[in-house]
Amino acid sequence: MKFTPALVGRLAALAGLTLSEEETGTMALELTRRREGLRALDELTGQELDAAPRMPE
Amino acid sequence: MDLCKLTALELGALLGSGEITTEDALRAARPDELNAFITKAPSPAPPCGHSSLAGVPMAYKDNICIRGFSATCASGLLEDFVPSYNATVAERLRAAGAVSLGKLNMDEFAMGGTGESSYFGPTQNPWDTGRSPGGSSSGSGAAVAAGQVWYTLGSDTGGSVRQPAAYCGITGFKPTYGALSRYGLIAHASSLDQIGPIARSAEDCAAVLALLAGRDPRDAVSLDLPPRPPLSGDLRGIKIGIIGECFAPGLSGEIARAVEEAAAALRARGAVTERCSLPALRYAPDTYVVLSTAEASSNLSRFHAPQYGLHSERLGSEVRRRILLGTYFLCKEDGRDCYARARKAQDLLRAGFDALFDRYDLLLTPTTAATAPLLGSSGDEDVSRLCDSYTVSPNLAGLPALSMPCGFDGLGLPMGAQLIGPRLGDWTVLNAAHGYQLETCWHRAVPWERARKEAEP
Repeated sequence: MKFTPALVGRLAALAGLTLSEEETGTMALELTRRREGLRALDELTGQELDAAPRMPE
Repeated sequence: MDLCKLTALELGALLGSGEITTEDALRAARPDELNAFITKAPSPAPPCGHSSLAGVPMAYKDNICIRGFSATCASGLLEDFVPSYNATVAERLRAAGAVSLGKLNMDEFAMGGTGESSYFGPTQNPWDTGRSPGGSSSGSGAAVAAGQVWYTLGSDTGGSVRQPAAYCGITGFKPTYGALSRYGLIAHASSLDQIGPIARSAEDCAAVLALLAGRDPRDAVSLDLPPRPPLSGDLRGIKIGIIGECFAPGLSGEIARAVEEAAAALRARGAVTERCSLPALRYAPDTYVVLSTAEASSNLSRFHAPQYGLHSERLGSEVRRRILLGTYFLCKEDGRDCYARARKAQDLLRAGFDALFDRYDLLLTPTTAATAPLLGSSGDEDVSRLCDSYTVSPNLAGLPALSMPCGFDGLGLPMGAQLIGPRLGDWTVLNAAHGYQLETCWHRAVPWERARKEAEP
């Protein structure tokens, strides 16, 4: 998943944040890095997900 | 007598017997040379209640609301925010005769693990001023370790009480989710947030918990703990599992040895220890990233939405990053899939803990994989991930967990071991840590004494 400056701009608008053009570009790189870091969740298989018990809230 | 070396309960006993006064304690308290405080009380109000901690000077993390005192959350956005009400924990401590010295530095909106994202500048570690005291309760950890106050309240969403306690060589306790009211705590991630005490000893933490615990109608998830048993430190009949996955590459060898020695000390008090396994621990760091940022983006927009457009430039970059990432997890297709996976992984982790607590009374892990990092260093990502797996997992499962000092590394920096208990097993955790501290003296070490010894010819 790659965060483009356009996507970051849309997210910022949703969150009500004001970002400069330069900050939007930097943020896109940083958010891409963080999303790519979620390897363990991406590696969860369908079998493991199905095995997860539904815990009470 | 160096009053600053005493535990909060020992000081409270001297105050209670009339041997010293609160003014004596205030004069003895060491000055803040570490940027631990954001706001200091100009003249601390005299105690107006009775308890084992009456008259003992303490302070609050700056995300806990005290009427008439700023609650900045270490953010430029809230620089001028002065709450008109008291958090429940502050009301209860006031009724118990606490003497508050003010509000403590932290990572902005409790988002960080080094204290460096504070709008008011970083706090320094009293054991090495070039290093971080940890975070996000950076000031809460440093102020106790440096002898500025005898205990503090911090907040812990993913380790923010325990990790500073480990880096500063003191004791930090995160109670069971809901055991302390969060009314008046400025929320970070509501399903994970918990207020907790930081002090020299587990006994002190137990005393604070006893004063503060109990249901509060103003916090819907608050609950009653079982009655407090006396802390004997007797661990006969207690079975402790040592989570094998925590001893992974990236963990400092010195910390691994120190935790093994902590296990031996617990055995000396009568506990039985053995290795155990929690495979779902590997999901904890990612799960925390997804759930905490999603909740933070929601909490901050609810709290400050009208101000964002006008003042969002007053939010630090880490907070902005987390808000955007959280918005992504809540709004975009791939993000929502991450969120769903994170909730499933949280269920796997909780089920894993449940299975372990069928066999063990407590679990033992390192609190951190390395000792305090240098201020300004970016740190190793794998080590940071390993550290997160230790501390965020009790928050994700709502469990009580405590960090206790367990030695010093070759650089003279404190190391911490973590005890995790089952839900509502808070007193069992505290009793085991008390037993450990009867067996060892790491919690008695103070940085100013070592500095004095090093300065001697």
